[in-house]
Amino acid sequence: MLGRINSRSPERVGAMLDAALERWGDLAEEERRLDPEADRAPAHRWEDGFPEGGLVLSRISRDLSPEGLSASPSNRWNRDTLWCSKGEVKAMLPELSEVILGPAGPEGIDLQPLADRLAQFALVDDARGQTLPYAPAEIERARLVGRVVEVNGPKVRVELTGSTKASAADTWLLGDNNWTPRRRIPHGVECELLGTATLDLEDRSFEAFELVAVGTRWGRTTFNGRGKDLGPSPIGFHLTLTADRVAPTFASLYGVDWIPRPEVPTWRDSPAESGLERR
Amino acid sequence: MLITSLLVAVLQQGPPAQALPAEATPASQADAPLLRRVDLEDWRAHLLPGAADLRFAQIAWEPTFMDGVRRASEEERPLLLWLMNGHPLGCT
Repeated sequence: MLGRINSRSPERVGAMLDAALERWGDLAEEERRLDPEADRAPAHRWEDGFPEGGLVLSRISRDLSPEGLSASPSNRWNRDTLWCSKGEVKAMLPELSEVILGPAGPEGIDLQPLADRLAQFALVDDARGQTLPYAPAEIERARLVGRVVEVNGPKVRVELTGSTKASAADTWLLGDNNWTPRRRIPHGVECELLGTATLDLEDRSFEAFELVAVGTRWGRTTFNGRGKDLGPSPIGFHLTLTADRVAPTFASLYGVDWIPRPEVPTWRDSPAESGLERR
Repeated sequence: MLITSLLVAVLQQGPPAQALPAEATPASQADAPLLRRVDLEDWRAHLLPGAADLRFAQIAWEPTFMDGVRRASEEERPLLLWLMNGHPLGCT
């Protein structure tokens, strides 16, 4: 360790860096290199669950003004990702023949598994800070339907329409884990959804995807920066395809077998098993 | 197969997406701005971060701490580790 600091002062951070660089200059050449004994791959990374060939979305959340588009964009925004495995996407998307003969009618293509994942993990009030996901029982409404507007061989363009409502009371229904809050405060998000997607129904995959969600949030969670602003107030989300491999914030709570979990649980997953006490 | 092909052809001749009537979906809460299909491009511009917001992404971040240590060792340069509590995505 050449230096360390916990400070918001640029001057203090700069001074620490200068001192650390001086110490670096004093190091022997061999001390500047990584000890081969210490060169070990991490035992577990959530990115290991990256769903190759699945649906990988970047998600932006942003506070909105009641004036909506006529107001300047708020500088309170946040980012996250959402994953669906290749298998989940294949199960969700119909065969081309099914689209034509069945769900392409007024009902459209039912994207219920994606709606559920959006409502639980992506359409959350984190525009001002870290927040919590919702349990399935806290999803009052989650609908997402793709209405076919264009078919070009196996490529089907759909217009997405849907809505979600998630509402958490002063309970926590997702077990004892890294996200278990010490304080349980009511909160929720309700959104209308509109967007477009292009499906490749030969490959049963998403070739393009863009979704906008606009609605309201209310209540707060311990760290989401709402303070006394319990709302309701407007919030918006944008989701689109990304090559970013960073894991979704709540990947550990997806409850799917295609995202590997760490072999050794963290102390909050299982204090008894790891032999560590929760402080 | 023939039926499928014919139906595909019929659908292909349908009105293009932009010709469909504008869809107004009022948010279910009175405080929420109106979300309409005709405004989707404007919403994209409003919601997505601008270039200034994404300057941090111009840094060639390594995906793990160990990747950074290896690169620093190879390049014989010191490593700056900047830590923030919370999830790198969920925490502002």
